[in-house]
Amino acid sequence: MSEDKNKLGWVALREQIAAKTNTDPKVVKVFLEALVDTMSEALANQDNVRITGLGTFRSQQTATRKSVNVRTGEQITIPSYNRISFTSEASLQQTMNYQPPTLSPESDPLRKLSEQADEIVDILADLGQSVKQEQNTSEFSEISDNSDNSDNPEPSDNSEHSDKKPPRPFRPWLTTGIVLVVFCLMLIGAYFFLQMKLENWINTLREKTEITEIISDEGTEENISIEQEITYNQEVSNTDNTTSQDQLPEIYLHRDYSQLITIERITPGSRLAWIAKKYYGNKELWVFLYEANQDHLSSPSNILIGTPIRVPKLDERLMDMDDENTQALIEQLKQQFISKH
Amino acid sequence: MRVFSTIMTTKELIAQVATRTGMTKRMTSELMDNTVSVITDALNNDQVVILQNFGTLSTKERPARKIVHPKTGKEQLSQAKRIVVFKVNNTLKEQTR
Repeated sequence: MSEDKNKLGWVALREQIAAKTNTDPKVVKVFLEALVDTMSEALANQDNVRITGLGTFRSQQTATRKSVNVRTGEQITIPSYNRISFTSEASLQQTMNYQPPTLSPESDPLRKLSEQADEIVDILADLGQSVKQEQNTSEFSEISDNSDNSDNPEPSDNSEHSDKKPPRPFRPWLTTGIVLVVFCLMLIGAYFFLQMKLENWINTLREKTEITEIISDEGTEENISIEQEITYNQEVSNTDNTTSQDQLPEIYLHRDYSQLITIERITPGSRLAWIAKKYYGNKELWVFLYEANQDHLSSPSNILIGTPIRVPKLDERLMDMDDENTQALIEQLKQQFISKH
Repeated sequence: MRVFSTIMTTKELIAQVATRTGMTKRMTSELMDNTVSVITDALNNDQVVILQNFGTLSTKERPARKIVHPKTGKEQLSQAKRIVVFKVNNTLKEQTR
């Protein structure tokens, strides 16, 4: 090696391989000799030997040919022999003929970019740790107050520096990104939820306004009409059932329609009897409905579609169909209303 | 005289060497890779690699030369390049004869 730099001798090759593989040079020697033996045997058998990464050794037998001795002019025959040739692999050729292109101006910006990226990463890491450092300093100050007041600041600093390294893979920007995404998702969810709620609220508001309008329109007349009815009924009961008047409790005489269950609108196909069955459970009780809405209903059989009907709360005794008093009262009211129109 | 010469690949070579030396195939393959890398490095550094009883591998400069395009007749300069040259050792020559 030392005598000729341009030569890689047998021993030098052996030593280099031994150094690369960390094996005994003797083993390498054995290996190389075996390698050469096998290769030469293969070539003697006219096999080609292909070594990946290097090339192929070809062995080809030449035919016997006649030639002329240049000096004497005698004709001689050259006997056939194995010609061994070597063709290097394309990859080896490429690496050998590779000329590193002079790219100093181009390589500089790349370097700058990588440096900048490193700097940015460092800055971000520092930013993420500055917050932690503050926490750490506060903790350390507490500890120092507890244990020793004089000696602690330097070791605490050291420990901070040692703490700096582990949180690097923590990547504060990544966590902030995740937090942002989650926040956005929550915002979207809240938006839709609020929209739903708003719609519901608006709908309920509308219904309420309608009801209040109806009540405000008819509330004033209601009281008067109910008083009129009561007096009317009293007159009727006075005239017809003088005997039962003493027995009848007050509910039958003073029917109270101030407490409402709902306000129902008459839709096409619905009647007072149906509403009565829906809310009271009996068709016959439509009489009370009509009585409660007498102020704006001209007749029980002819009601315009869309007219609001108050559904008052009825006393249980009034809804009891087995009671004779109620039956009598219903029939009496029926006759009244039908005869009226 | 054989017409078709078979090719001995690195795998077969490793197997044969392993049986010859009694080493494991893994070790021989590792050694093989390293020898190849050492040789190629040497060749890249313009070194001559001498393999005992086998031959020498050396590099040669092939300078640029004028070439004529056979179709268009244009004259061009071929790119200069380095090639690997193998010279057979005498012992190998005699062995294979």
